[in-house]
Amino acid sequence: MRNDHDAFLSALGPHKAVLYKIANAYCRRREDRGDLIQEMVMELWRAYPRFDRRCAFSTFMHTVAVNVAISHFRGEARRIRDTVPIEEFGMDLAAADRVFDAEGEDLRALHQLIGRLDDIDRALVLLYLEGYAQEEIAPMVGLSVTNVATRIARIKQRLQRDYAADAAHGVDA
Amino acid sequence: MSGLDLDALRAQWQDASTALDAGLDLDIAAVNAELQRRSARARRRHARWLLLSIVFGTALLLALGAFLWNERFDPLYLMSGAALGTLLLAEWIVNVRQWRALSTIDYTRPVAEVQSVLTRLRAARLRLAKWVTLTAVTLWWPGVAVVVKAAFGVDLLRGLHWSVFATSIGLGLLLVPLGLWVMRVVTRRFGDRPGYQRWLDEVAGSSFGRMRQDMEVRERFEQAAASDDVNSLRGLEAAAREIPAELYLARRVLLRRLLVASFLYAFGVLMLGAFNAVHGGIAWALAAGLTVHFALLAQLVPAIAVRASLLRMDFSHPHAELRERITTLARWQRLAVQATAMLSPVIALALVVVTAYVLPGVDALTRFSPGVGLALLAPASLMSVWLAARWWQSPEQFAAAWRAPRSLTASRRLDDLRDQVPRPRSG
Repeated sequence: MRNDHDAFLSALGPHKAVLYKIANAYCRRREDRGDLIQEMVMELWRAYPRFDRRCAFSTFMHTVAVNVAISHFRGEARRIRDTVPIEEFGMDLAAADRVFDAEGEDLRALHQLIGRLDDIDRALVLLYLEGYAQEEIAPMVGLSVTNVATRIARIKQRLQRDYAADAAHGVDA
Repeated sequence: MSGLDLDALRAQWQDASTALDAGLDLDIAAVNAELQRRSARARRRHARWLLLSIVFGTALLLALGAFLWNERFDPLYLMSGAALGTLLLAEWIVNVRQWRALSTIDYTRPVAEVQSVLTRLRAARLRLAKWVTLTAVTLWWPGVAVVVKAAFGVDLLRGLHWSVFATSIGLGLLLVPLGLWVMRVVTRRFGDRPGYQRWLDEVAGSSFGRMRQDMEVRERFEQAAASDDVNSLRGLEAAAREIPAELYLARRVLLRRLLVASFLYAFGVLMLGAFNAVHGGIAWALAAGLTVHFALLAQLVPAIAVRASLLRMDFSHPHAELRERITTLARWQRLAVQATAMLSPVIALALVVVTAYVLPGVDALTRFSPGVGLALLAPASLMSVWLAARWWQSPEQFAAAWRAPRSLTASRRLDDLRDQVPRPRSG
């Protein structure tokens, strides 16, 4: 058990930003992210015995974390009833927010527009931005490669359209 | 930047991710301690409401089973109990399936696969909600009769006039195909709208988790609002994306008014239910009672629905979205008021008849012949048709003419609430 713990935590450490980014994409309110991140970590730990080491841990982590995030806000998740303040996890969200807020205006606008997509499209665009190829995204999401390509093309058009509409109406981030 | 180029932003995103990875800390020892603390319990905690529903449903089914066994030689109560039991059993099965699905859900599976499981669960709950709604009127009185017989031994099915149950069941059976048609029309017209999907989510019960979070945030605001301390609320505004404190106060006032209205309408509905039960054998009384009963229901349901929507509304949403949601609520609320206005001549006549039967010593209506009754009903009905025609020609003029200055249904206050939401800056 101790070895499993150590192995899991060693694998989790280098990819902790994944938790933050997915929580940021799926939480409308910043104060909700702490609970969601804790649920993600718990579910990752529960799922760790099923981690297939033929794929990268980051791939496994993205799949589980996105599923938890989507389920969390559909109210279908196994809920943690006694979450602790996220600071007790040693995760300084405020520091991450400062890095986030220092991004350019374009990335901030992108974050806001991603928040308007439906759950699956949000997952697709996050994985795409993380650098995954469409062939890698397809099995993670459970769609065909063709379907992924089509949906990503549509997402790009939609984001461009929404960006132009927001600019025309003076909507800010 | 004149447009949004996702491919160009991809590189920027990954650079930002690198900075994030470097700047974000995670206390591995703390996570380790938490994992050990939770793993030791080895329990999966589902939403409490689901567990309570299953336990409560099991108890109800057992009690109903015992009742049906006791009444097995009484076909009336056997049929009534069996109909009620079918619905209870359907709900229990849906809850148990959800419990099992959540217990075995594998988050390592592809996203679409996991979401399809959740979508199937949602569809099952929506189907159940649909049939509960469609059969509610049919099963209402038989259900009450079963409960009263089981709890107090009183035989309502034979104690009340047969017309009470016949009217309820007959109307209910008529409403089933009508309800199915309305649902098809609504789905075809509004099916792809986000507001409609959000409403379906609420019906399917998948917002309970969200409600828990909303309640925590709301509690903080309510504590500040309880003292009408605008400054305290302003201090919390930063977390609510610059929503004015006045908006929260206005919302709080509106929620209270809707709660009072709901109680008043509900009280009226119960009183009219008792009136209908007592006067079941008198056609005029029953017809008038049912008319007023449904008129009150037509106000009660929107009041509850609007209040529930306002309670669940997330005020951290973009301003434009908030305005659109509140406008939609106000529009539906206004439609309910206008429908009542169109039927007001008939409702007023029905109210007079009910009052005549209720007030002691006033039995003028019992002396009227059916001809007199029809002579009063005909012009009232024609006036309602005329009002409906005016509404059809010009809903805006109709709305202007029939604005209720102090309406408890609060469509005007919803407009005021919407106007408190900041408008997007032009430029």
